[in-house]
Amino acid sequence: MNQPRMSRALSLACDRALSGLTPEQEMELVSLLPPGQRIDPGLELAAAAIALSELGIDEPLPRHLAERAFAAASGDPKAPMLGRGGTVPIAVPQPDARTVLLPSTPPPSEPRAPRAASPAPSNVVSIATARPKTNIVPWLAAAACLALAVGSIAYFTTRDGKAPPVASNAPVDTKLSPSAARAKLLAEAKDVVRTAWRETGDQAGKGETGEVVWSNARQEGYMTFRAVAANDPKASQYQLWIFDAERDERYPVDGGVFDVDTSKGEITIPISAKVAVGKPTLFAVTVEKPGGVVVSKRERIVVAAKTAG
Amino acid sequence: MALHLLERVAAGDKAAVRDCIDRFGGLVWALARRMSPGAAEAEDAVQEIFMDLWRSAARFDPNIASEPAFVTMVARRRLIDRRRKSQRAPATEPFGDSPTPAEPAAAGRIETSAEASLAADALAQLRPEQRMVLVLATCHGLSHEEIASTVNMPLGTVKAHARRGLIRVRELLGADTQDAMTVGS
Repeated sequence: MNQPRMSRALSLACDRALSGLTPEQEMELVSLLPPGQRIDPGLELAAAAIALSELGIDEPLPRHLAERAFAAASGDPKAPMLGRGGTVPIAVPQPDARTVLLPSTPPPSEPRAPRAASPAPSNVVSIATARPKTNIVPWLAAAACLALAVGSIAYFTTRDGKAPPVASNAPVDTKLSPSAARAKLLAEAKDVVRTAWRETGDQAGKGETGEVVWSNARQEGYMTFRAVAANDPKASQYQLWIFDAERDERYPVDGGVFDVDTSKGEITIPISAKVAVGKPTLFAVTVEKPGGVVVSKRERIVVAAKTAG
Repeated sequence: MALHLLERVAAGDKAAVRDCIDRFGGLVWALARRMSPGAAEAEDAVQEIFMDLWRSAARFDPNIASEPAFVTMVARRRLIDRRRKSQRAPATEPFGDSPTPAEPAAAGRIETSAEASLAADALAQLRPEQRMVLVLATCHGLSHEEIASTVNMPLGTVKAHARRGLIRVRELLGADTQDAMTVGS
């Protein structure tokens, strides 16, 4: 294979591994290969490995989906447990063929020891998807979370009753949408804390499964919401409070006032901490009057997310 | 030597199917949620991924890939196919409301693997923009065009970062995967 053809084939193989090819591109890739030669599986494995290395949050498969998958397997005429040995031509390694797309890289002299399977990060809270009418466990979890939130939000006030000074947060790229900026933060920051929202019993937070991501190094973070009830900005607004282990728990950091409308899907809200956060331990969202408050009466805590701190 | 889960599935061990769902359900779900346009699509994708997994379990070779990596390959392939067919942007509807009452399945933790460890090492060696492009492509299923738009980067630069970064990770994974796979899905 000459250099231009090999370069084109390699480019297509990379695209294929990352985001797939159109049928036309797939045919082009095949046409670029000499007869009998195959596509390098290492690229697809590399893409899988990257995904695997980045998927750090615990998101258990909902029980009903697990049961459905099991039932489908049992009823599938091609399922192996029925002994019919069906196959799907999905791209998986074939031991009897050799690839030519990439120069061979010698294997390490000794296989590298796999990274020990680490437990889920302690700051990660499993996303509770159970409904209270059918299972009491999530309610207990929510109640525990609520107790923690209420206990922590003992006094929503600043020491002198005035708004705290504005901190010099790390600059956020204003060219990016919040969701894109969040993705960028997740991709770049090494210290990102991710923690799922937990219901507190407030109707406005029922069914919420979004999360908070926060980088202390950057003093940057984002909230995602999927089910929190939309607010009428003229009547009330949501406000985030960040509890900091390095501060008196009576004085949580104001994380910003915001509106929510999840009717069209998941939304991402940037966190706007008014002072520098040292070690966040709890994020809590309350309902307040338009414009927010300096002192919260903590009458409605919609959702809360605890970190490991 | 004990058989791997997927080898047991391929051998017709029904209990292994259940174990496989418990063990890899969280991984499949995490990928499906990130790479699907909405909750319903993610749920459908999970079913298709597991069906693909049962059907291709016989092709699993522990000498080539770990089980988590194999499952991820199968899942990503299915999700990419679905995404290309639907041609819809991700995250267009909330994930919070399940059609039926749901409770978390056990053992949903994402597993690590040798490949993931190597990939993490490789990512750490890349420039931030290269790393970002790869993560957006592999974990979130964004196309090159979508990445370019999302991070305000020229399309050609995105493609270059993606290609070089992927090849670098592939090199670090070594030659164990030199055996080829057939084209097609």
